[in-house]
Amino acid sequence: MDADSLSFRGEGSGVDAMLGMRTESTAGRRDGRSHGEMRAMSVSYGELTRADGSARVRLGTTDVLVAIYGPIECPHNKQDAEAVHVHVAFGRREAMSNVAGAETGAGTESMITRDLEALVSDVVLATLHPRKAVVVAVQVLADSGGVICAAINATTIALIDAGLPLRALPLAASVSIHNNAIIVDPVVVEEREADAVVCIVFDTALENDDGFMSVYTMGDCGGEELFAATVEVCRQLVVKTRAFFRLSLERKAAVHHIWNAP
Amino acid sequence: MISEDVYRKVHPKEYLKRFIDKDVRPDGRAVSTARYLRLTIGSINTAVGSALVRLGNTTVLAGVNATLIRPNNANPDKGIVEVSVELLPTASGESRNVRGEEAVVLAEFLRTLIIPHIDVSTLCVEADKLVWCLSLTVYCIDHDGNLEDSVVLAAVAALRNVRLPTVRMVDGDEGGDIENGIENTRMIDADNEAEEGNESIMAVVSSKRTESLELDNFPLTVSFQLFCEKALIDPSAEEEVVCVSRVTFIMKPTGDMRGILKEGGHILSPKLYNSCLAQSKERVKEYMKKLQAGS
Repeated sequence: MDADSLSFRGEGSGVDAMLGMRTESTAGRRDGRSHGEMRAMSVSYGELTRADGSARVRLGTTDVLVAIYGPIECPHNKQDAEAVHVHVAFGRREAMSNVAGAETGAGTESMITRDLEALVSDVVLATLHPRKAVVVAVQVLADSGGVICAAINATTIALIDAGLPLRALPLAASVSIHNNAIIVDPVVVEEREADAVVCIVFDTALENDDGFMSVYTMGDCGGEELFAATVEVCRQLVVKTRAFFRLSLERKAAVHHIWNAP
Repeated sequence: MISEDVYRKVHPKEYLKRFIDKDVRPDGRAVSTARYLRLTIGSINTAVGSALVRLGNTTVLAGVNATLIRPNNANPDKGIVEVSVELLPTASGESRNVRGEEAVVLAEFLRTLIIPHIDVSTLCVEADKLVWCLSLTVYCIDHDGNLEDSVVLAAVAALRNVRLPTVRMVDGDEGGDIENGIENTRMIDADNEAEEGNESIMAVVSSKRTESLELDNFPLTVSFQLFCEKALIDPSAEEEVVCVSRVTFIMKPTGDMRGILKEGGHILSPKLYNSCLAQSKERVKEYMKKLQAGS
């Protein structure tokens, strides 16, 4: 195999993200993960006592806490006679702009807020609660890559924790593309070095689904074939993510259920 | 029986559905036909680069202003590019807050697309002393839908139209000779007001503008709105209000796909995705034809 040819797709051998060179499948990334390995994920429910539902999702050291309040009273001017109004408040712990040349500022917050509003409005059964509001408060506690992904997953879990009926179960996964190689669950430094960072949201409630719900690409995806491979990689990740969340939800439900053996 | 105008106002979704079911749109276009694009480049003399985009009734004007400033300490050999978008009150009947919010999102959208393509080290005149600061402002004058594509196209066309004068640094002594002598130049004095005791920078700027930014690779976007299992290319404002979800394909000038943005919870099926991708490639050819004709 010539080391110059870096055009492989999806499940190829590992790639050294920094040098763009092919290495063995287990080595390569700074934290020792292989190209297809996600960071450890953890989820906890109901940490906030005043919220109707809350979930905290950790992806490695990325930490996102989402609180859901709803259905609650909606201010008059925002009321919709046929649907629930969704309001998203997105916050980070660090200051918005820093001296080291921040590309993210009020603009990215606006974009993520708008994206979450669109997602939650489409997923919650909006016609069940007309003239009411659902408030989604997202707080990023630590950002080491994959924040949008964690925020979307945490929002979905928090909605389940709040007991709001959902039309779909959106879960997200993000990958980055370096020199035509796909790397799963990038950290901040890998995101910065990447040619592109792609975050895709799938509806995991559907059994046979070829499409996707949302997609955010930042950078150059390298053409439609590579993008198609990226979609497949993200889909497999989301299947794993779903299995994990399902397991944790079953455990949570088991605690609150008393089962009488026949 | 109610009249068509009333039905259009009271049941906008059903009104649009009646057209889409027959594969046409209220303005007579087919579902996969975009509006006629008019691109006028370089019409504003007070800006170093400008472009006016008219996509149907949507009118967007982009202008680039250039000033010479001292670079900041973090990046002494790089120029600065500032991007802002404004939705003028003439654009739509929305309140100032709503227009402001939409402008912020459009500005961020434009910034993330455009900034990576501009090589800011070419904007440096002399490291640590003098750099160009380009401020790109995009004004939306009339909002009839698809501001995303219009804003990006106008910005790209304006940046390609930018012609900067040549700048040469001089010492204080030489300054006197130049003022008396050469006719095609102009002295400028850029100094840093913040610190005392800083020497002022003197430079000679030619009055002819010839340096272009050499923007070879730039993003071109093609947006669709999803409605009833169909994708409407280049949506009008009336359609945008009623449709469920926007998909924007980010393409390269060659027609290859660079990225895709889609928000919301409605599924984009592979069939629709492929159809949109094919339409985007065709649309990029149209953009390139107009860009090359104008510049």
